[in-house]
Amino acid sequence: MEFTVKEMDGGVAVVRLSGMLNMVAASLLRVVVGSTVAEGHPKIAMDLSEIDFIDSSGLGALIGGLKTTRQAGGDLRIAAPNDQVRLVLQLTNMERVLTAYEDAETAFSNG
Amino acid sequence: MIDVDRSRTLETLLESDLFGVAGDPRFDELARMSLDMFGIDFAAVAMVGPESLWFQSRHGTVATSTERANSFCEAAIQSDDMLVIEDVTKDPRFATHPAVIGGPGIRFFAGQPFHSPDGDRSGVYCIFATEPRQLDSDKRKSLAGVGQWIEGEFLATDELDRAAEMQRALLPKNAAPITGYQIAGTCVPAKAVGGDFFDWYPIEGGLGFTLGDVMGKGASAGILAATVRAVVRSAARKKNVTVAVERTATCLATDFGESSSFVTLFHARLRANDGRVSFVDAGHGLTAVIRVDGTTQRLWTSDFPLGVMPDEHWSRHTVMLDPGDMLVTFSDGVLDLYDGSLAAVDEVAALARASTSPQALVDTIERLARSAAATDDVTILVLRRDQE
Repeated sequence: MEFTVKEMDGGVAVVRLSGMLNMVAASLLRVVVGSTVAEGHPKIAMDLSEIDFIDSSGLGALIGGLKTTRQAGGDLRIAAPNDQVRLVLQLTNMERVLTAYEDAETAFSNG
Repeated sequence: MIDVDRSRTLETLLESDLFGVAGDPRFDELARMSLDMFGIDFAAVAMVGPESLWFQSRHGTVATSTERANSFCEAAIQSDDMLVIEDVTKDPRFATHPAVIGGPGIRFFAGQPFHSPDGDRSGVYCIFATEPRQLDSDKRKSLAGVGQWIEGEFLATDELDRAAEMQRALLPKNAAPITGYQIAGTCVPAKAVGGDFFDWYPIEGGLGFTLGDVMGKGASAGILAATVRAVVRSAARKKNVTVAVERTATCLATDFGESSSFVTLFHARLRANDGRVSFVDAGHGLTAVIRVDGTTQRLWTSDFPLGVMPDEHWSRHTVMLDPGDMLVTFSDGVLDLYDGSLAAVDEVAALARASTSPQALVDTIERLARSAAATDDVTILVLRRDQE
């Protein structure tokens, strides 16, 4: 998995991920979220458009990121997941808290 | 006196099950790297059978097995120590060996015996060259190190095998705990142990049953799966099906909060006299009732998995199993046996209708999982109410 972090106004960071969001990538993602929040960006928009596949460990990392950001008074939002990612979110009902936005850069435009 | 039949059987077993022709990727890589590391022409990991040696992984050689008697490897096994023959033509034991005077014309041999976790001599790591070679003290240390590495690998495999055995022991075995119903299940882990489990046990007036999928794969998921199974079971006497789930959630929050793991779970209680199933679905979403009338009803709720949100609650739902109806619950590894989408539910339903019994359906899914070499744990539990 590869990632980039783009800092935007209002404490929002856009994290772009690509490749497989699996057990190996999950550890990396936890570190990325932790350090982004620590650097003063508790609102994270995850751009998943380049994620090909997510497994349960990857979902675990997103859930962990949601907890971390919310504890810091922010939120984690996801954008542009593919069908496989959507199915995982749907089966686990995690779409209730990880709602998919169309575009990461505007995921926080409503606050 | 040697029981010939018994030793033949053992040889066959060794050949087919343990050291199959495919080789072991770990040792294949080792054999490949050995050519450069030692400046030699052939390398092999030879496993000892009662009469033969199997070259489990090899590079530069074509033989898959050889007679133990009079072989280079046997000499190393008998010495039970590193054996180095820098020029075999000067060694009276091997100067006239067929592989020396004929093809491939061996001139150099070194072998490092290795042992099983129980301390038995289990094989030899062998290197050969077609020219005489010196093996200096650094290379001898490397050769000994390779032997230790192989022993370490066998030990790790052995420990995983034991863990897998323990995990299998936790799965229910008695096939028909209540009259009027048939139940069957299987769990095919992607690795030696996995995070999926299923369970069933008698409760007052019926049957409790569960299918769970712990985040991740491997040993850590397996430990958590065993814990979840035990906590769910601890509520077997509680009539409300949500108690087991909430108890498990509390346990996860207190004991596993740090591991940030989560579990999806389908847990149910069947009332045998009328077929009423009360259930909780904690973010599992892969359960269906396949009706005798030809319809399929997917059971889903909007509840979260366990370990996701603090202070979460789970709702109790009910569904009736009429005579001939079948309830099927499975892990998401089953989706990957098909196209990875929810269309797999219909595929499983079609298989279910074509199956003569829950066991037959379970056997079919297990065969699919094993032949697909699934990358995720594949688990299924099937309960059918008998036709009246």
